[in-house]
Amino acid sequence: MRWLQVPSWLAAGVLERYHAGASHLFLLHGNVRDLHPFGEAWVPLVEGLKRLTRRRDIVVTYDVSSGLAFPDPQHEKALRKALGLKGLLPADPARALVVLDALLTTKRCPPGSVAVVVDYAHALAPAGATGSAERQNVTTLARWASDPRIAARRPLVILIAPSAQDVSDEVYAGASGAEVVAIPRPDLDARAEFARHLRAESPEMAWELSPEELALETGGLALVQMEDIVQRSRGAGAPLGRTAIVQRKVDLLREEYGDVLEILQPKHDLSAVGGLEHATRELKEVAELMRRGQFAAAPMGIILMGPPGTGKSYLAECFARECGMLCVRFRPLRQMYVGQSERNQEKAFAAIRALAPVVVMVDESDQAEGSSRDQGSGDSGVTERMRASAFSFWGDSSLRGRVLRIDITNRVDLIDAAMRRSGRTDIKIPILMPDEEARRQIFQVTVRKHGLPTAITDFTPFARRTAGYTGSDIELAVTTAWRFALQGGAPAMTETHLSAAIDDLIPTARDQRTIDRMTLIALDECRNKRLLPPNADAIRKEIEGRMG
Amino acid sequence: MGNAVGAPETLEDHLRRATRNFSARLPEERAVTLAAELARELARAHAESPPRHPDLDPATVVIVDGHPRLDGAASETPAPDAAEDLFRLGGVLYFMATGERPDVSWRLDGPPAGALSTLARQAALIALSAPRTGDRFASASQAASSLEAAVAPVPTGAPPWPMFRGDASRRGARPATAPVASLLVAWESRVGAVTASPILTSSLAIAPTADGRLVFLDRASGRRVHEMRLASAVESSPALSDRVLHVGTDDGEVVGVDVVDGTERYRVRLGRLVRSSPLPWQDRVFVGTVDDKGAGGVASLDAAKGKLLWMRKTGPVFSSPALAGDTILVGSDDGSVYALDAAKGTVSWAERLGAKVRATLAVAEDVAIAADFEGRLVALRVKDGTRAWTADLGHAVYSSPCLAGGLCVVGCHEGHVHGLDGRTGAPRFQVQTRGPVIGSPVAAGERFLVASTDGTLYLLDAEGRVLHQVSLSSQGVQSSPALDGDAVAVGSAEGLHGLRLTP
Repeated sequence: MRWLQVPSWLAAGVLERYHAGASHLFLLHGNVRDLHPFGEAWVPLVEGLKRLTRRRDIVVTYDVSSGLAFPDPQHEKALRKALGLKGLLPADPARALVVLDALLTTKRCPPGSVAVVVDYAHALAPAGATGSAERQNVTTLARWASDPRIAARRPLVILIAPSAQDVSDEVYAGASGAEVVAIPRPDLDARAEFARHLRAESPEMAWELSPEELALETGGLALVQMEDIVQRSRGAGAPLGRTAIVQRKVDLLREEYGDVLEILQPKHDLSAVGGLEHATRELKEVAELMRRGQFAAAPMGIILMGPPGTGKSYLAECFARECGMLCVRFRPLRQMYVGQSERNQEKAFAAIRALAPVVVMVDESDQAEGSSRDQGSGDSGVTERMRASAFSFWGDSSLRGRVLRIDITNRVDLIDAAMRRSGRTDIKIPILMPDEEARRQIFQVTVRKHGLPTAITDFTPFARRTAGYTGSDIELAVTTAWRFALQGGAPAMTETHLSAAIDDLIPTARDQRTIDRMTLIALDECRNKRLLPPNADAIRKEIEGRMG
Repeated sequence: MGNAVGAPETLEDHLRRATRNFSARLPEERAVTLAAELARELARAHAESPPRHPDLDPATVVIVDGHPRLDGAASETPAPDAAEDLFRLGGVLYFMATGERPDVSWRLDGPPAGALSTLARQAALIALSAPRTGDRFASASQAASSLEAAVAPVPTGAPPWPMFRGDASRRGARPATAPVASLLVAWESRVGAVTASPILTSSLAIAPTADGRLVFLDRASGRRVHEMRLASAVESSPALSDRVLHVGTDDGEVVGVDVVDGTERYRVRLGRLVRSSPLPWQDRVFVGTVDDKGAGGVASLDAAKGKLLWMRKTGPVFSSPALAGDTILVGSDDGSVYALDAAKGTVSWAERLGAKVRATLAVAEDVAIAADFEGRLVALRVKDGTRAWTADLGHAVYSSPCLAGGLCVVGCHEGHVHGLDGRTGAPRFQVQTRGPVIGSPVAAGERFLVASTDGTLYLLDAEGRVLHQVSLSSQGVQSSPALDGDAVAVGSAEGLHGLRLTP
C-alpha cells in the first residue's frame, strides 16, 4: 500500500526522533532538490512536508526570497488569530523570524499543532555569519532547537539547506542543537519504483529497456535527473535507449561531481592491451566476477605498481571497460584551505557511494591523499583526520563488489601500509618495463588499436631496437610513423616510416637507477606468484647485476 | 447473483460491490470485523518462521467466502516489521470504514479524531496506526482481540467497579476467590496527577486528572485510549450508569460523558464545587454540592439529560451519597449526617456528629458508618439515625470506611489505618504509615488495600499485618483503589497505576 508511504530517511531520521521526543528541529541536507515519495506521488521536498503536516492547525513555510507562506488561507487565518496579527506579514528575515518565534512559543496553540518549514536555511543563518542581522538569525534558530519551552509545545520545525556545512554550526552543534538529517540519493529500489512510475506515466513512449534496467543504469542520479532523461527522450520522440541514458548520465554526473571526481569513459577493453599477460589474465577473471555479480569473491582493491610510462593507467581504464562499470578518477584533494580538502574528500566519498557500482582509479596515490606520515604535522590534524576517514571508507566491506579501487603507483612503498594490507587491497600486480616480446606486442596492439593501415607483419626488429622504451614511447613512435606515412602520401605505414620515427624519437629521459629501484619495490610488494611477470627472476638478476 | 460463494475477489472489489462503487459506506461493524479478521491473518503470518509481512493493500488482499486472506505475495513496498504492518492495517480499516484514503499526515499526527463512531473502535484504530511505534498494539493478535471486542457497539454486562467505593452501599468491598498475598505492578500510565478514584469497566480504567481531563485507559495494558478536557480541575470520582459517566468538577458542574463514543451528554452547573462522587440510582443521579458562604446540599439530576430534579440544602457536601434501600445518606460540613428520601429529597432524619463529615458513609445491613474531622466513628441505624456504637480514633478522618469480613477499616490524618469490629466498634488493629491516609481502603475478600499520602499502597490482612507494599509515587496517593477480580487501578500524583493481586 502506497497511501501511507514516506521516504525512509524521513521515517528513520525525522519522525522516529520526533515521536521519541528527542528533537523537534531538524536540518535536512543533501539530496534536497529531488523528488520524494509521499503517499502515491513523487513530489518536491517542501510539497511532501506540506502533505506530512497537513492536519496541523498552523503550517508556515518561510524562505528569505518569498517570505512567509501558507499551504492554504486557513493556516494563515489560524496564525493571525493565534498571534493577533493584522495587516501585511513581514518578509524580511529579522521580522519574519520574530513572527515564527512568537508562533513557536505561544500557549494559544495546543501542543503539536504547529509546523514550520524554513527553506534555504543557509541564506538565513550562513556558516561564518558575521553581520549582526545574520548573527541574530543564527541565535534564534539555535534557541528554537534548545529551548525546553518550545520543545514542550511539540512543534515540528524543518530547516532545509543543500549542505549542512553551509549553515552556521551553532544551529546544530551539541546535544540540544538541531538534528542533522542527510537525505541520500535514491537507492536501486527507490529508482526502480520511480522508473515503474515513469513507465506507467508515458505509455506512448517506446522503452528499449525495462524500468528495472533503467534503475540499474542510473546509479548515482537523483529522481529528477531520471525524469529529465525520460522527458528528453519523449521530447525528441526517440525511444528510451541505453546509450542515450549512459551518455546523459555521464553529462549529469560531470556537472555535479566534476570538481571532486573525473568521470572517465574508457574506449577500449582488455583486448586492446599489449603485453602484460600476467596482469590481463588476472584482471579478466576479476572483471568476469564483477559482471556475474559475484561480489563476495570480488577484491576490495587492486594496486598496479611499477615504473612510470608502463601503461598502468591505460590498463586500469581498459579493465573498467571490461567490467562494464562506470569509471571515475579520484582527484587529488589536498587543498590550501584547511577544511576545504576534508570536505571535498567527504563529498568525493559520498559521490562514490552514490555512483556504485563504480571503478575508482586513484592515480599516483602516493601523492594523492597525504599518505606518508611526515606530512601529517603542521596542518592541525587535517591529514590525520582525512587518513582515518579514508581508511574507514575503503575498509567498508559493504562496498565489496560495488566499489573497486585501483591504485596506480610507481612507489608502492609510499602508500600507507594499512591501505596496502589485504581487506583494503587484495590484488597487487607489478607492471614493469616491457621486455622485447612485450614491446613487440605493444607495437602490434597499438597499430590495431588506432586502426592504422600497415604493411609491417613482423615487429620483432623494432622491438629489439627499442630496449628501454616504455609502452607510451612505443605508442608515440607508432603514431609518429603514421604521420610520416601521411606526409609522404603513402596509403599504409611501412618499415621505413616506423624506422624513421624510432630514429627521431628521444625516449623519455630516465634515471636507470630510479627505474631499477621502482621495479624492485614492485617485485618485492607482490604477494602472488601468478601475478609476477614470467621473467621476474631474470629482471631481478639483471638489476642486481647493474647495482653490483 | 454475481456473489457466488467461494469465488475469490480482492478486498477492493469486495468493497466496491458492498458499497455500490463507494457511493455508500460499508457498515462500520462490518469494517471492524474485516479488520479483526485481517489482524488474525497478520498474526498468523507473523508467527511463521521467518515472519511474513504480507501486502496490506485493498487491491491485493483476497476475500474468500467473505473472509480476508493474507496468503499472497510479500509487500512490494516492504514493511520492515510487525509494527509497520499494524500501521498499514489501520489505514485499511479507515479506508473500509470511511471510504477515504489514509494519507501521509498519519505518519506525523496519527489517524484523524472521530473517524470511527465508538471510543473502542477509534482507540483500536489509534493503537494500530499510532505514529509512535511504542503506542501501537504490541502484536497483531492483541490488535485482533481489541478489534473483536470493539465490533459490538455497546459493551454488555454491568461494569465491575462502576463508582467510588464500588457500589451504591459504598462498602468498598469485593469477594476474593483465594486469599491475596502480594501485589504486582502491571502498568503505569503517566497521565498527570489523579486525585479522584478510577472506575473499571470490562475493558477500561477511567479517571479524571487533577487538571481536569478525563482519561480512558486500556485496563489490561494502561495504553491511553481516549482523553478529553472536562474542566479546570476535577477531584470528584466518576460514576457510570448504562453508558453515561457522571462526574463533578471544581468548576461546580456535573458532566455526563458517553463512554461509548466519548461525546458529552450533558453539563449542568450546581454550585461552586462538586467534589462529591455522583450516585446513579434508577434513572437519576445524586450528588453533593458545595457553595459559597458555607452553603451547599444534595442535588438529584435526570441521568440522561442532567436536568435538576430537586436540590436539598444541607450545608456543603463533600461526601458522596450512599444508598440504603430508598434512602440516601450524606455527610455535611455542618457536622451532621442527613438521610434523604431518594425520590422526593425530603429529610428523613439528621444526626449531628460534631465536626465536618467528608467521608462517605458505608452502609451495612441496617447501619451506616460515618466519620468526622475530629475522629469520631459512629454507626448510625439507617431507619432513624440513632447510634449503634461510637468509637473515637483521636484524629481527623477524611478516608471513607471499608466494611468487609466483620471489620471496619479506615484511615486517619495521623497516618494510621484503623481496624475495628464492624458490630461493636471495638479496636482490632492499628497500622502506622508515613503520611496522612486520605484515600479509602478497599477489601478483596478479607485482605485490605489502602494507599497513604506517603506514596505507598499497602496490603493488610485482617490482623493488620502488612503483607506487601508497593511504592507508587514519591508525591503521594490520595486516590482510592478500584477493584475487579485480581485487577486493581489507583491514581497517584504521577498518573494511574494498574496492579494485580496475587495469592
